[in-house]
Amino acid sequence: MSLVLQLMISGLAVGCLYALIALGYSLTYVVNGTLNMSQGQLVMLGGVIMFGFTSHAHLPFLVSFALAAALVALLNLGIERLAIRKFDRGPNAIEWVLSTIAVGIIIQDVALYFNGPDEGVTPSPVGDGMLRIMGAGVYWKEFVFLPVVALLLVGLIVFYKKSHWGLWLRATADNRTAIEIMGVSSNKIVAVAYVLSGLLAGLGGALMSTNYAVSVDIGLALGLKAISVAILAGVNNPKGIVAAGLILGIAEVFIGQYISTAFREMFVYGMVILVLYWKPAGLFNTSKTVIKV
Amino acid sequence: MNSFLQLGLRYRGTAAVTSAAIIVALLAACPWLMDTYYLNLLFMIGTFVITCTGMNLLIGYCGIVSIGHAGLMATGAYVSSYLSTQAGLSFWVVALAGMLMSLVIGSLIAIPTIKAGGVYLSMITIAFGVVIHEVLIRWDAFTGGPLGISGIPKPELGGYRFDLKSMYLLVLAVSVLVLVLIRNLRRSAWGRAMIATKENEIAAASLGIRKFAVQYAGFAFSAVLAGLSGAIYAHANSFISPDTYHFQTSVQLVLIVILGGAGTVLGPVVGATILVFLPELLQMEKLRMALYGGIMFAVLFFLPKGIVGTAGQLLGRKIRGYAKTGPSPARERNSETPQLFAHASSSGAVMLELNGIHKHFGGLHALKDVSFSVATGAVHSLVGPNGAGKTTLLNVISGLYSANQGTLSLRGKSLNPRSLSDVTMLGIARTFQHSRLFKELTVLENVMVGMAGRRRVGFAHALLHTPKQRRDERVMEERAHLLLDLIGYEGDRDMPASQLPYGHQRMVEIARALATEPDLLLLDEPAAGMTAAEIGQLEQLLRKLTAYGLTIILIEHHMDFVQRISDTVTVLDFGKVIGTGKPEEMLTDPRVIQAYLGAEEVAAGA
Repeated sequence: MSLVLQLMISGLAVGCLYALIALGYSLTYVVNGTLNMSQGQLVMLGGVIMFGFTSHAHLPFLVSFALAAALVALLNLGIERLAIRKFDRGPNAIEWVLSTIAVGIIIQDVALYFNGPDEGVTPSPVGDGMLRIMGAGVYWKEFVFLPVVALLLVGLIVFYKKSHWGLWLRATADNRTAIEIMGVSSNKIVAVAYVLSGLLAGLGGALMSTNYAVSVDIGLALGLKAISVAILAGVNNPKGIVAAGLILGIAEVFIGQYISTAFREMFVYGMVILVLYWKPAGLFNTSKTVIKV
Repeated sequence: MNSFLQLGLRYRGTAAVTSAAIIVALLAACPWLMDTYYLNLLFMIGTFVITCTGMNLLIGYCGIVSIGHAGLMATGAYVSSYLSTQAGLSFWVVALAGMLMSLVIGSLIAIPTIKAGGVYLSMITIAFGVVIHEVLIRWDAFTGGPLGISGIPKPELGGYRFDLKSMYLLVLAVSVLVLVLIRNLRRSAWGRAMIATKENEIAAASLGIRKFAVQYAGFAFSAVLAGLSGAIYAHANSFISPDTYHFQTSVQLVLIVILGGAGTVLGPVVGATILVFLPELLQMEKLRMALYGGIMFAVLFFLPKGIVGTAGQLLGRKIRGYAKTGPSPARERNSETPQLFAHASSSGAVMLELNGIHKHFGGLHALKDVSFSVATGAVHSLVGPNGAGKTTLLNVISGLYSANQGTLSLRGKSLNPRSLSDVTMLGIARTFQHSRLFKELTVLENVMVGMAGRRRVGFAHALLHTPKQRRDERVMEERAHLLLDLIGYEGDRDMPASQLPYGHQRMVEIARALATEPDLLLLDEPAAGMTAAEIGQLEQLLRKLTAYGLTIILIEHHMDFVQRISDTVTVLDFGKVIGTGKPEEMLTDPRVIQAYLGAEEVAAGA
């Protein structure tokens, strides 16, 4: 029983990170139908920067945390400008898929060049102590993900619902032409969505580095996990993404414990493909008007 | 000089075939001209050409990107190697098994992702490539783990054992064959259907083309080619390991296609040549992937059509410049259109009947209890102010939206519009409010796409360019010319549709819709943006069509035109039918005037 509880908490901890990263896809996808295929590499970058700033440059934890998030957000602003804006030509365009994949490869290889292949864990400010709940032992540094991510999500919701930027984001998601007629530049709003998405990636990476070893080659796998979450939930469904992220985290931990660590990924992606057969629009998607071609 | 060039142009086809034959002959002589180092590189180019030609079909024609084809190559390589090392089967058998397994596994991931559409295929194929790589490392018993499989025997044929030279010749032969197949495909109804779907899937569906069918066909063929290329590589190299089938390999394959030029037959050849020689020239260990990423980015930014595509465009412009000066071959014009519309149904009977149609969009009630019937052979116009629900109604009839409530019947039989392409096959064709011609295709090809739903030959026929396919193609071409004659299009028929003036675009769209052989034609504001002369032409055309027995539902705002052409008018306002009747009655009805002009205007006028 205590093992199950322990696994549950571990699963939730990693799951909330997946959800955070996957929300980055959703934020931009609802606004203009594009997403950054190099999101995973951005998360990696957040983690590597975090580790570098705290362990090599000896900057204070919170400063490194903020810097990592801000730098990745800024980078994503540049990516939007260079790799998205020119290639965002309607629903069937594939150029932005290719261009953001190219960006991902470049980020990873350049990071490898400067950082080397080493991996590292950022010392967590909550220390290496254990939290004991009903006989289950969980590291504090793992458990702390849950409240931190919850706080970040609340911040995101407040921004989305209360700020005028959030209003414009919601409006653009609803009807891009209408927002342009109102005299608001939709390019600018797309850029804001990308900055937010980058912020989530940077925060996710920085957080992740406090409990898991980060190195330059974790990006692809992370990006794919987050994509799985987005597909499971439906890319345009933020609430569903949070739920799917948590479910995937828990499922992964249990599969690793009881079935096989070696083929854990296969199970995950197999599950995603099965879901696509069964519910192509995602598990939690509320049906809009469907066009039947 | 000019006349010499024109003479050259007349024999353009022959010249192309001859020069291709010379190049292939030179390449075939390479084993006796080069050392093994270069021969190896040429061999690598060949294997890439085989895989990337399949991916070109996917990216350039179908408009979907797979970033997991290295995984499919691995499937072909490992299945064939396992079978030939463990079971001792001959190369020809195991290569087939490899292709088959690649097709099966590829289909498992492609079927749901193509249906889900958009970027899903790209995302899932990346995951697929990564998973396959993991499996290759961990499934020791089958794959030999990180060490891979070694001692894979070279192919044998009737006692002869292949060596590097003959393996190279084999790859050369297969590459050339594959390129020819793709060229055939592009010039068939399948190729046109693929490009149509890539450009505008709704317009393609309105011609009876199912997106899934064409895209899956493209994916399946590319999977088979990837499996084949994997098997050939494994048996030439006699050793394979997971390192060859990275995510990076898949990216490299995509890069080959877009660098060479997606959608051009020779693109993969040029792309593969560059990407095989580049690392040999640069000798760089670090930042190689970053360089590839940079090249990919630069190509997307500055050469979106790739090297061959851009060069072809420049050359094409020059050649067309010369060709214009020569006389265009005269085609015999037929003023009669005997075999275009076979089924002249008895006029007066009911073609389409709508009964209590409701359609909601969330809280918006776009259609409320719409009922009327359309007589066979009539022009039935739908009028009403903007937002009255006319286009929504057309979308419901044509199957693009499903009604929330109500029934339809076509020729007395219950009509259950499942999808746009489905309804087209039942004999209902439509055009759209905004022009949706396929810009990459020529005028003639646009009309021929309209026949793809009914008259497409099998995929194998299209690949092999069989006599049946050639016959079919001739029939379609002739019919397309007849339809263009019918709508009175006089201009260049081999011109890309993107260069047509607007009025002509609308007319060609009608010809394209007619190519689906409909009984019922739905026209959504065909006269919008037309000049008065063009409207006159349109009117003549509609009269001809009804004379052939076609039934037409017309949405139009030009009221005098509506009055002249219509047999019956239905007026819609706020999603409700105000009335159905003769045009002269309906258009003078005070309720109709009120709907158009508002209550106060009517009161003031009275």
